[in-house]
Amino acid sequence: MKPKLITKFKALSRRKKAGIGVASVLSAALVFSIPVAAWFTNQRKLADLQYVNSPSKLYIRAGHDEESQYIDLSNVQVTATSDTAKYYVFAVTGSNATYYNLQLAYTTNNQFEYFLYPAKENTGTAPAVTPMPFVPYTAHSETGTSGNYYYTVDASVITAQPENTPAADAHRIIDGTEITREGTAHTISAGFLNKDGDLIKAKKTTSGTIDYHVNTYGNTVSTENVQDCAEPLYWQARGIKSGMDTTTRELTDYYILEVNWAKAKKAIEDEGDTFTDNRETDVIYISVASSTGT
Amino acid sequence: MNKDVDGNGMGVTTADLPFEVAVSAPYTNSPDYSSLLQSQLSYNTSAHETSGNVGEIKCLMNDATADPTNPMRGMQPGSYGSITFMIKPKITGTYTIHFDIAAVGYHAEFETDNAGALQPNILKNTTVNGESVPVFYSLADYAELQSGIISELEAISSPTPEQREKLASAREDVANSPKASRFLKGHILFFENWSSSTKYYSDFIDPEIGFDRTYTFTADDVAGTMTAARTEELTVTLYWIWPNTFAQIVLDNGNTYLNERDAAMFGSTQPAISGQTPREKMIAYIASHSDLFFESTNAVFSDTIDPDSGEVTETAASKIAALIAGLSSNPDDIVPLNNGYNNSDQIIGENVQILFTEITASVP
Repeated sequence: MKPKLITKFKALSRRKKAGIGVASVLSAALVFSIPVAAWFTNQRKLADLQYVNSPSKLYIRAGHDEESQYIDLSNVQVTATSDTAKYYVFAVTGSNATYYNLQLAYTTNNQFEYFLYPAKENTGTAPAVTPMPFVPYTAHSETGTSGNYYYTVDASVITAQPENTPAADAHRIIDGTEITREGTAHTISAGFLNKDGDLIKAKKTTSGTIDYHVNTYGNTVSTENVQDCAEPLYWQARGIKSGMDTTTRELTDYYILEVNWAKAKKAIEDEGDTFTDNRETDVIYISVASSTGT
Repeated sequence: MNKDVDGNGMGVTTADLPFEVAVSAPYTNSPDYSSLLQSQLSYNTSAHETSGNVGEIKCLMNDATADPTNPMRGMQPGSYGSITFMIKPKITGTYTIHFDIAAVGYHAEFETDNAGALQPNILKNTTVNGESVPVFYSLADYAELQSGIISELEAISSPTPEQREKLASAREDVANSPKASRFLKGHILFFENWSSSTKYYSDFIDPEIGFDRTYTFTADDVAGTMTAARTEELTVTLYWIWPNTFAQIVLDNGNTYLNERDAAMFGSTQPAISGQTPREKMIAYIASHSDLFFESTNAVFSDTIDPDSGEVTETAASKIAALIAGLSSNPDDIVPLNNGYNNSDQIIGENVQILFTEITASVP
C-alpha cells in the first residue's frame, strides 16, 4: 500500500503536492484540538426535553359535520305547536383540542332561553315516538354526503342532572355537569356572566371587575342609550372534555341548541296579553375556544 | 506524526471545576425522554450529579400545568413551571458562576402504530439502508432537508397533485422553521424569581446574557456537611413561562384582557431593581427584540421607511414601546400585540415538536 502511495505522490504536479501538504497540516491541527478542548471544559450542563403540543384547531359546523352555512336557526313559530321549545343541531369540530370552552352570546328581545345538550348522530329511521330533544337533519347533496340523520342527547357522555325534573332538561349543560369522553369524566363549570337568577334580560351591571356594558358597547356609549334587551347575555361552559380521537387527534362533537320560550310565554300571558308569532329579531353567537380543562 | 498528537505529551492539565451540579432523583417524566437525550444528544440520563466523566446531566423542567390525564402531555402557550438543581461545592473559595440558559426547538417525526394510531410519546425510529437516521432534527437541519426536497420537486416538469402539495408544504417549512426557532427565544421566558403569593415574576434572564451567582464555598460545603439552610442557599430554582397571551406581560390583573388562567406576570407594585421594575425591564427587552415576539404584517412591527430618502423615520422598537406605553389610555391597542404574539405561537406549535432546554454552569 505504502509504496503505491509514494509513487502516486511523486507523479502529482507541484501544485497538487502543495495542496496535500496543506491538507496534512490542517488534519494535524484538528487532531491537536481534541486534547486542548479539555482545557475549556470548566462547565457543567443540565438538559431537559419537553414535547410541544400541536396547536388546537376548532370550528363550529353544521349537522353531519357540514359547512357552517348549513346551521339553520330559522322557523321559530311559537304558536304552531303546544311545545315551548325548538331544537337545532351544530357541531364542534377540529383537531388537537383536549378541552374547550363553549360560549353563547345573545340579545334578549324575545326573552327566549337557550340551552345546550351534548348530542350523538343517528342514522336510519327515526323512532316513532321521538325523544326530546330531537333534531332531524338532511345532509346536503352538494357536499357529497346526502342522507337523513337525526340527533338525540348522548346520555353516555353527559351525567343526568337530578335537580332538573322534566326529562328534556335532565341532560342540559349546567354548572357541575360531568362530561365523560374517552373514558374520563370531567366536571365543567358553566353559567352566565351577566344574568342574575330568573332575569332573562341582561343586566347592565358590573360583575366583579368586568363591566359587560362597556365590554360590549365601549366607553363612549352610555347605558341610557342602549335598550335593555340589546345588552347581550354571555353564557359559558368551561372545560368541556372533547371527544378527540386519540388515534387521529380529530374531534366532532355534536350539540343540540334548545330555543325555549316557556318563560317568555308565561310572562306575557301573566300580563293578560296573547303570545303571538310576531317576534322581534335576536342575535345569537356560538363560539368555541380551546382550554386547559380548568 | 502520530506521536505529535499524543495527548499525554502536551503538558496541559485540566482545570478542576470548583463545583458540580446535581438534581434530585427520581425523575418523574416519561422514560422515552431519557432515550432521546442519551441516544441523540449524548446526555447521561442515569447520573444525577455531574463529574469529570459526566459533564452533562438531565434535569426536570417541572411543568406545573401538565395534565397527567391528557395523553398528549406537553407544553403549550400558558404552560409554566420551574427548574431546580443544586450546586455541590468541591473546592473552597469565592466563585462567580455564570449560567446560560437556552430553549431550542426540534422538529420530530412521530411514530404511528400498526393500527395507524399516532403514538404521542414514541418518536419514529427510522433506519435507511440499515443505518439509523435521526428521528428529530434541529430546525435548521429540517429547513435544509426541506430545501433539498424543494429542489428535487422543482426539477419535476409535470408534478402530480401530491407532489405539488408536498412542494407547498416544504416551502412553508423552509420559511417557518427559522421563524419558529427565533420566536422560541421570545416565548419561553426564564426568570430568576417568582413570588408564590403574588404570582409575579422578576429578574428576567436575557438569553443572550445569562446570569451570575456568587458563592463562597466553605470547608463544610466541600465536606458535604451542610445545614438544611445552606443546602437551600446552594439550590438554584429558575422559573419559566410560556405566556398564553401578550396581555399577561404588559397589563395588570383586573384588566378585561386578562383572566384567572392568563393572569398578569408582573404587577405595578413590584419594586424596581436597578431603576427598572420587572415589567419595565421586560418591555424594554421586547421593544428591542420585537422579532422574537411578533409575527404580523401590522405596520407597528416594522420600521417606518421614508419612501423618498429610504431612511428609517421610526423604528419598530420605538413604535412598539409607544403602543405599550399608551395602553392605559388606549386599552384596545393590546389587540394587535396579542394577535402578533398569537400568530408566532402558531408558528412555534406547527414547527416545533420537541423543546430542549439546556442550562450551562461555568466559571470564567
